[in-house]
Amino acid sequence: MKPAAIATEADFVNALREGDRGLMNRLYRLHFPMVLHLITSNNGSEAEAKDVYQEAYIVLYENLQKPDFELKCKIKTYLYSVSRRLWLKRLDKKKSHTSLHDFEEYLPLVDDDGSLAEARFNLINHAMNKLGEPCRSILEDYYLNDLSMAQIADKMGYTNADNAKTQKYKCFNRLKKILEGLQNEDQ
Amino acid sequence: MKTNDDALIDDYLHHQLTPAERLAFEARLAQEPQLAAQLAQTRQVVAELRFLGQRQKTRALLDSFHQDLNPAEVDAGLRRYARSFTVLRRKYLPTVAAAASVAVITVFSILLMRDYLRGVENSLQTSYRSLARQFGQIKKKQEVLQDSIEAVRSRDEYLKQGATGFAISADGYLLTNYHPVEKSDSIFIESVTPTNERYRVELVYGNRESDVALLKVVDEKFKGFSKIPYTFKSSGADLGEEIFTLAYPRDELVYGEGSLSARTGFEGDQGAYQVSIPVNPGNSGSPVFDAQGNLIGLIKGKQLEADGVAFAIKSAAVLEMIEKLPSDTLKNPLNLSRANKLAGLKRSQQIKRIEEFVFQVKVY
Repeated sequence: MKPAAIATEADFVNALREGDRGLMNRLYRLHFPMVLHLITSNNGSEAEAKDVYQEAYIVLYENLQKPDFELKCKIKTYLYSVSRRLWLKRLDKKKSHTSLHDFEEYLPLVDDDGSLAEARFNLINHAMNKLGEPCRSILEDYYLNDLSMAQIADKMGYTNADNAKTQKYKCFNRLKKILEGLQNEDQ
Repeated sequence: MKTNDDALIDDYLHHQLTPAERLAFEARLAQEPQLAAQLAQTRQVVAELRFLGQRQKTRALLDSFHQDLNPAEVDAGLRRYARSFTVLRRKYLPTVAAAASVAVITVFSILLMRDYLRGVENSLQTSYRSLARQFGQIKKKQEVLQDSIEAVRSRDEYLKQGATGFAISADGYLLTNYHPVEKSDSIFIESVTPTNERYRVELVYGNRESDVALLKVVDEKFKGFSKIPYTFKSSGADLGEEIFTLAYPRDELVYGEGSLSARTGFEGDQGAYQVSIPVNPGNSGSPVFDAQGNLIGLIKGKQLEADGVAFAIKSAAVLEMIEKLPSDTLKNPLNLSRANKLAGLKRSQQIKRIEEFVFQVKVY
């Protein structure tokens, strides 16, 4: 095997910043075994390892999109640190014992473990699930998939774009109410 | 009316109002706090929706990466981590060693002090002198130690470690010391003879106590070594026996010869010999042969404060390690060469046969 050009730490950081899929894929491959070992040797399954690893990877990825974020350690150490913290939290929820066998150096991440972003994601995701169809599809098509109102009207069977638009406003306002409700529940 | 405001806000956020409409809307915003609040809220919900979309896209991407994973590669990586458990425990060894040496120094200095005090009773002047000399010696030792630390550091800048390794089976297994490859990201072997080969190798097994590491070539362009011309000597070698080594203390194969000086290694280590071969950093892991070309061991280190005192791990200890390898470590059984084709040859002929099996181990 002709070894692919050796990627440095900086190459990977840039790839994450710029969304270079090839290198991001390589990075994913590179450190998955580490987290798989961490989770499976600490009472976790392979599926849980995948979840934790992807969550940690997303934390790194999203943090690197922020212009003021500075990665102060190796990517490997960061992924390990976030993963172990996420896993400790899950163990805590499972009420099983909450100590880990560590085999890598890690940073004691406190506020930077992506838990805020995760909570944010869970909230909106939950709200969208609660919203139900056809609202969910209309909002997703409009805000996430960037379809025009005419396209949406066509797809969902509305007679014209204006009707679809009216429906969209209703859906949007319902989503707003659901979000408010969920936020109040949390507090 | 309500829907109308929704439409206005929507168009405003999507920059679809005419300049006049926009001005009018902004004027209303300044007047009507409720409308402003509604706008802020809408913005917030849209931001959440976009965040959701981003995450869903990232997750789908990561799932596709996960699909791409090669199970064999994951397994291999996992095995490496399974091994690193013990490595971490060993990380604490230096700390323990430091603590132990403090204890040893304390005990000895108390003993020395007692001797000195006794000396003071006998003759005040002579013991003063000897104390001074002691200090001088200690200083010298420290300087030597510092020198060697600096030497190692400057090498670190471009390469983590360099050592020597040698082939033990035609299908690509090699031996070297464990300490240079212990903390490796990747390992390559290079040879200046005969064709400047460079292969990627993998640490298959390492044992810190015996300081032996088993490497395996994992390069696709690797077609196998030729038949190994030397064999392991399973019995002990004799004192005073003439021995030689081939190593890469620099980017060149260097021959060194000497004799077997003691049947035990550093501090009575039963698994090693003391040899009088000039060795330098980079000699680590180089093979040691007797006059007939039997492999009697591999160089592992030297005593800092003494000249011409080096240590070699006994071939018997290496064989024992190979026999005791955990069964899942090797894919194929390790076929060691059984025929020594070097006996009776002149030294230069022996070297010609051996040199293609000795490699520089580059650890990154």
